[in-house]
Amino acid sequence: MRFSRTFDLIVVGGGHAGTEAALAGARLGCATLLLTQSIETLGAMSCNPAIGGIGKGHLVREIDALGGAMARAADRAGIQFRTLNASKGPAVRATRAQADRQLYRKTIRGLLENQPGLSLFQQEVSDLILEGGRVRAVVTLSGIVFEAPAVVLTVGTFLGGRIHVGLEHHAGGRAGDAPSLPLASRLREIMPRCGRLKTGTPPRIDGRTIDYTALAVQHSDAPLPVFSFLGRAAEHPRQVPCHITHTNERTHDIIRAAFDRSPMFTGAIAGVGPRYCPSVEDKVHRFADKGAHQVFIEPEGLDTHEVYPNGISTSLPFDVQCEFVRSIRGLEQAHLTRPGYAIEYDFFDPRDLRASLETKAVGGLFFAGQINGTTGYEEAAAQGLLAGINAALHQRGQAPWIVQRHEGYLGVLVDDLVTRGTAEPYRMFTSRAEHRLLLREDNADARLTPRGRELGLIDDERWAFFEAKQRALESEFERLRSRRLKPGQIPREWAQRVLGGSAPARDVSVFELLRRPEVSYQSLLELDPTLAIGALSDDRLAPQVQRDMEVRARYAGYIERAADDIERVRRHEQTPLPEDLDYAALAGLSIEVRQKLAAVRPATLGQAARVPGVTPAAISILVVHLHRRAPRVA
Amino acid sequence: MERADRILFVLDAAADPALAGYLEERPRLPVQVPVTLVLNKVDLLDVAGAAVLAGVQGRCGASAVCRLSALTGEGLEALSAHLRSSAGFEPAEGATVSARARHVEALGRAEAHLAEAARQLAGRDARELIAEELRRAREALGDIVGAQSSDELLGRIFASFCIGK
Repeated sequence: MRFSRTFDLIVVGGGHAGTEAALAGARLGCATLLLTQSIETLGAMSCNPAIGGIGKGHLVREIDALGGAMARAADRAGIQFRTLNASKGPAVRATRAQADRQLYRKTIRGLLENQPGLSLFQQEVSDLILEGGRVRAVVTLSGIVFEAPAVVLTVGTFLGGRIHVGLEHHAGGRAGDAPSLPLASRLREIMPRCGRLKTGTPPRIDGRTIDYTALAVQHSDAPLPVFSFLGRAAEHPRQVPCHITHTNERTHDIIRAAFDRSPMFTGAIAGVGPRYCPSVEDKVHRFADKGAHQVFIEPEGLDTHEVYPNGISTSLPFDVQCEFVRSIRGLEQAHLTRPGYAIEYDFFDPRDLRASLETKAVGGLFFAGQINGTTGYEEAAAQGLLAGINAALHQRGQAPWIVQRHEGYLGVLVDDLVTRGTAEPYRMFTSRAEHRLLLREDNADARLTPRGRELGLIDDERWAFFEAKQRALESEFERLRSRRLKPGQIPREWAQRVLGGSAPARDVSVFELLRRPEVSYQSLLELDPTLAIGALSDDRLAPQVQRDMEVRARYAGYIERAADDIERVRRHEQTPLPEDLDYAALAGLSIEVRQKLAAVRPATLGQAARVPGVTPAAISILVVHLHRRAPRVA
Repeated sequence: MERADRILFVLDAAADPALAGYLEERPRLPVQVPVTLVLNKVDLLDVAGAAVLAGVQGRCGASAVCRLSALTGEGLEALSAHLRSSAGFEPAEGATVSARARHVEALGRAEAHLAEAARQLAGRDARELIAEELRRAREALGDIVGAQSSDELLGRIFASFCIGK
């Protein structure tokens, strides 16, 4: 049966990728349909109840800078906020929030339901209708056909999902939810390269059975961090602490004794899990010299006793899970409310995607999230946003928007995926970015919001705040540079305490003082209270402006140098490589390089240079080839 | 073997001057990979053997043939020069100098960044800036040997340590 109405854009899946894709499509004016197996689980956090962290917090801020939902939802659902890497300088500082699962889901559902131009429909998608190499419609299990010229698939771990607990296993997309099997087999026909990945979760515990007096406590930071550029700490619900405990030798003995009943070690699981977040049995096996592993006891919400013990994800049999959990300090009487499990699922090699996240195989079909081999809510949301934007542009017949690596972690994420592919669930790290002094949480708005406004993603409220902030930044920068202090105006006591004695011998501007690593904006206020930022139109501005000044001072020089680097590679980024380039016939390239380039088919010379194993010499050969070829094309 | 840039096929020239061992194996070698036939023990080659070899050598289908005596060292220099040129090292004087100049320049940049990192390490508490200098040093070395991806680095880090998803 054909549905009575056609849409501009259909998003399949209502997780973190689907949410951002659907919202972005609708913000860009597309008549958008979000199809989900269950409207009740829109915005569900299937794994740990936290948003952000190193690298991930950066993605959340970038999504926010483009008008996305994740940061706003985290501000309204976050029950413990921290700034990670606080001692390591602003470029690598990252915000992380524990979220109340129910509040988060409720907030996301509210945003989806209230988005003009967006419709929801509950039904599993089982098939795609293609026509002339392009997508035309999706079909649900009961045979309803929804037509649209652009489709974004964000189906998470539901494709061919299989859940393992000990040696028992069954088909499933998440505990309690069915997997998408018909769609998985249809996609295996369409997509050339498919792989299998694995992820896992720990058992959950009834908090009333935990002896918290035996555990270390970790409270929110003060002042309370805020995720969204438009957010306020006052939006946060009541804050509650996390707790910390550790596994011990007895825990490890119990786990070791059960290796023969672990699907990880018996070969029942073929999928590859993440290196940086192994299951507890993997940790005990691989890091045999470690006598203890940290376990974070994370609250699941304000009105539930259930907690999430982060660090002991496992697929051991349930009886072993009970036994090893109870060997951990503070958890001796623990009642497990749900068993931990591992889940294996299909993903498709992201090298078969364009940088717009459109599949190379089918026009108008876009993929985002775990289907592309990533892990994490933030990575999923980031791809969802970009896929939603590019699907909308595609539908309008416009060129896609490709975020460059120096513009955002959004660009790093997509470029890594489509250029390198991935052999394990891909997680963002700040070390993946070569321009990480530029790609900070604090300037995500300056990097992305103007482009977002041009595209039509940014509403007037956000744009007005952005413009007010830019004005405040310029006037404050000017003020700090023009305000000069004579040596006599710096009290000996302050110079001794803050500068360690070495007071400047000549006139300095306040900005020059701020450039010294020992000097913070706060310490300048001690020097001269009149330096305080004057009244600003909005209470959210002062902390953002203050932080920006510290960053400008600290990274002055580095930022200019990075800009030079970017200018140098820009030419390569803008040199397209023909899609039909026959790498096998390119004389001078080694066979290895030819094969590597043919496996990726990079869209630009810049992308080719980042394919692992491609040397600077090989790029020179490509440049020569393009020169020879160019006159014939023109 | 398909992924090789070149195959070195070593034969005992004295025992098999007709190159039967190679001709028998040839159909199983990947066609797209050039083969250098290395004929060892030429010091033991008698007159009859030398005549057989001379007859077959030009028609054996190998991309290059090198005669060698591992015992006396005869032909070693030629083999070494052949390998260098197959790997893309130009024997011409000018080319060598220009490649070296580029490498020296890259090494100089790497050294400067390492020195700056050491200075930061001694003086200030700015670890992300130290990391930035080290990254630039690595990038300079990458101009010589090809880039190492940060993913390989992550592999090293998480071989002994782990964080959450």
